[in-house]
Amino acid sequence: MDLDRIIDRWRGPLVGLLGARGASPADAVELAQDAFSEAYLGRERFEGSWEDDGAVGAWLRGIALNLLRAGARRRSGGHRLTLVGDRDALDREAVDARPEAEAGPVLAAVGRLQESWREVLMMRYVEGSGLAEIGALLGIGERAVEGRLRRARTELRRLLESDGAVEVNS
Amino acid sequence: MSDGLKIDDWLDDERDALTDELEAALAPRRPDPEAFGAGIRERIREAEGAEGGAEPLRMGPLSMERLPEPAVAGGLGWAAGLLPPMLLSKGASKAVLGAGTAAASKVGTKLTFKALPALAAMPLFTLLMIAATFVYAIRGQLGLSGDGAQRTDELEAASAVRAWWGRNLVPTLIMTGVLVTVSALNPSGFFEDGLVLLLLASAVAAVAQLRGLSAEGLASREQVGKLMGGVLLFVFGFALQAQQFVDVAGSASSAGTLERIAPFLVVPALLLSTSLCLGLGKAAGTGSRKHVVQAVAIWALMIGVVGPLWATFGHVEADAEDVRGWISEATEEELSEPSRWDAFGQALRMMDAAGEPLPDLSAFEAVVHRQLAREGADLNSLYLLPLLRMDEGLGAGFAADAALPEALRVELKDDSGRIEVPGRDHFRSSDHNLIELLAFRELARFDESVVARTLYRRQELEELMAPNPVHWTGPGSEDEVRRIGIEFWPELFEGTWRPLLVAESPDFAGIVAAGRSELVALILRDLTEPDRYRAVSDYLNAADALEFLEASERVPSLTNRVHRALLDSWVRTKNGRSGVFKGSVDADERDADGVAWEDSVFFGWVDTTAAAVEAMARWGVPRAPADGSRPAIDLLALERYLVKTAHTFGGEGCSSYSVRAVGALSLLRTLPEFQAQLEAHAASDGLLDVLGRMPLAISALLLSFIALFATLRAPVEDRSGVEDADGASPAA
Repeated sequence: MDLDRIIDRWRGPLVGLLGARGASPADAVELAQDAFSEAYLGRERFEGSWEDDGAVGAWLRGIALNLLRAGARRRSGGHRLTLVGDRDALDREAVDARPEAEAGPVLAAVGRLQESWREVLMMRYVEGSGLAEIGALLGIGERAVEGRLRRARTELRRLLESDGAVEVNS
Repeated sequence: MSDGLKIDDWLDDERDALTDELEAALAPRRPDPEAFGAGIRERIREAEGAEGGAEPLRMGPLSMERLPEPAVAGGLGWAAGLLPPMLLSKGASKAVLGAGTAAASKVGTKLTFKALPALAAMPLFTLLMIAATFVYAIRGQLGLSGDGAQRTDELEAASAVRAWWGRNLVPTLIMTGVLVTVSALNPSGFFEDGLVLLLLASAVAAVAQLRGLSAEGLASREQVGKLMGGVLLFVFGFALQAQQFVDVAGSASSAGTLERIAPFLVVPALLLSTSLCLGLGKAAGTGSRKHVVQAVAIWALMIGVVGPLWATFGHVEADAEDVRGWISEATEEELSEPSRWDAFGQALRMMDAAGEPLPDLSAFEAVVHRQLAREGADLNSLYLLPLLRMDEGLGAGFAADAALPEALRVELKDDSGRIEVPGRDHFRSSDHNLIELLAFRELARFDESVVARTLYRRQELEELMAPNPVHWTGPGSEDEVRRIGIEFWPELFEGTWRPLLVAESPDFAGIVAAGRSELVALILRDLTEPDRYRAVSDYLNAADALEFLEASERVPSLTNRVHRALLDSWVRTKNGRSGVFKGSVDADERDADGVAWEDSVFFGWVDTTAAAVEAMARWGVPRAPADGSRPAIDLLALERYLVKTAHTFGGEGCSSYSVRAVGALSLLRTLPEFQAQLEAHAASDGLLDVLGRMPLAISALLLSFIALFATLRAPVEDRSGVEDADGASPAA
């Protein structure tokens, strides 16, 4: 298993997860890059098999969310433990964090969904990730991902129709 | 629709307009794969460059496989997982933690005998990890993290600490449960032995574990040396504290040469082994032996400084010479504290009885004189008793009467200068009994005296003047009927009646004679029961009173009661090495054999213990009752308690406790029963008995030896191999 294969497989859902948890688009990418480099540098601490999606997903999720929380603490004025790599990007105070209305009606509606639904939508459609990778990152089964995805789409469609913003009938 | 996304597992109805909308909306968040990967490689290059200070690495495909791990035996691997990661250097941490983690994962909760040493090391590791957790938490909160590579190291260390807790939470909780259980059950006196042995055994296990790691090639001499130094420093700090709690052989007659010398070796041995381990470790890392020489030089310097400081301000045993010197040379401020006078008086009486020379008391007497003049009637009358008893017990060495200033000895006199004495008819017609009349008369005589004023101030004069038993309702007792204890008697005798009874005035002759007889009868009638609180002290007071009343022949009649009280108040520690006389022992404190145990002996019991020694000097040492209801009194255990209590700490000088202990030791060692027990002990004491009495010293010396052995036997690290591994992996 080499790093490139892991990046290709987990990049999309990880960026989506970070975005769903509140990271700006630029921060989500930066944090995901940090997470992969952290995972590589700390690979000695990884106790599972690289072929085990569940273990890899949990490992990456833990690193990424820790980095996200650390960045949030720093922006909120609190102290945090340090991060590896270029942290200056995190100092750019969410340059891409436009108001929801400017981000478009679809993302505005996604932002109004409950977090678990927002997560699966963003993880799925940032790059078109599989249910297995999404489930592994979230620590749930594929069927659970599918269920969330269906409910999220239904609710998103309802929101968009009620807003009258866009025609989303299939 | 939705052809832009490469999804392998489309849902049935997912290819629709909504998906297209989502794809379009999320497109700005879609990272460019090439730039994304390049960013990651850049980060890795920066981190590894900062770590190794080397040239940027050529970036080919990055393997996620772990660095090659040395083969680790199952038990040792499990043990390695227990190691606190911050104890190891970075390289060793990667190797050891990786191996340990993997092994721990494989072994899981399956404990083997090989893992037992690691489990034994858990108490020490747990303490170290708690300390480390606090350090990282505080550093994080205070923003004390460093920059660059240091920040990376700290993050990794903090992460390793969290990982350690994650891996070892269960064994740590189990170990905590064991500690609490051992503490609660207290099988052998936890504070005396259990804690010391547990933590020292833990330290020994930790050292042995590290030795095993180095033998497996997982830890170099540099790493082992640093670790050993850290562990030994921890133990050193603990040993300094522990010496206050464990038995100290000191001058105990039952202690052999080895037992007396060993405690003095603990500190130098631990310091030397610490210095050597650190020096050897550093020498292995740098290749220069000068670090070993420096370590020994530092040790010699520390011993040269710490030694005299320890001898002066450390845990130092006081003896009779110290007490003499302290009383002779004490400042007025130290001597003018009335609460110490009773301790001085008792110690000096016992030293005098043991044939010890007494110190020059002139300075003390002058201080007391000035103190009385300064405080006058405000002086607590209880403090007068020690002075008056010193006068009686120490003869010409201390004259309390002389110490009483003239202003406080004003006698009631009429205009012609005669002492105004109420007529005998007044006494005979009074409803008061003779004792009260005597007291009244004495108060009249000392109307302006300290004694009279302080007694008047108490507002329980009438009750106090009547000897035991008196039932009264007084201040502090509310409606409860309270029995005046005999502990007040000496004050009455010495403060009021004594001057009257020794008076030569013919006006008192008849009263005095009758008074003596009645007082003797009252004393014998109202003797405290042996099981009452501080009964031994009461018997001593009663004996003093009887002798004062010229009824010394009645003192031996108290023997049985005194012996019973001594046997009832005798308590030993669970390890059997120390014993004391408490004020009283409740029935539920005894086991089925009538033996009373304490987890540890309290230095505050030295006053009742010293009184017991005085009682044994007067009435002899009681034998164990034939019915086995009480154990015999172990005078050697008693001596050990007194030796320990005679120690002073921190250059505090002779405390009241140590002064009493020194006096009691002097008298105890003159008792023939003590000599007999000592001879019997010498005939039966074996080497194992001796070693069993010095766990701290033995453990510390053993630990020092093992730590040095482990450091010397650890291999010197071959750095080229490590660098190859680090450098090869990324490019693989």
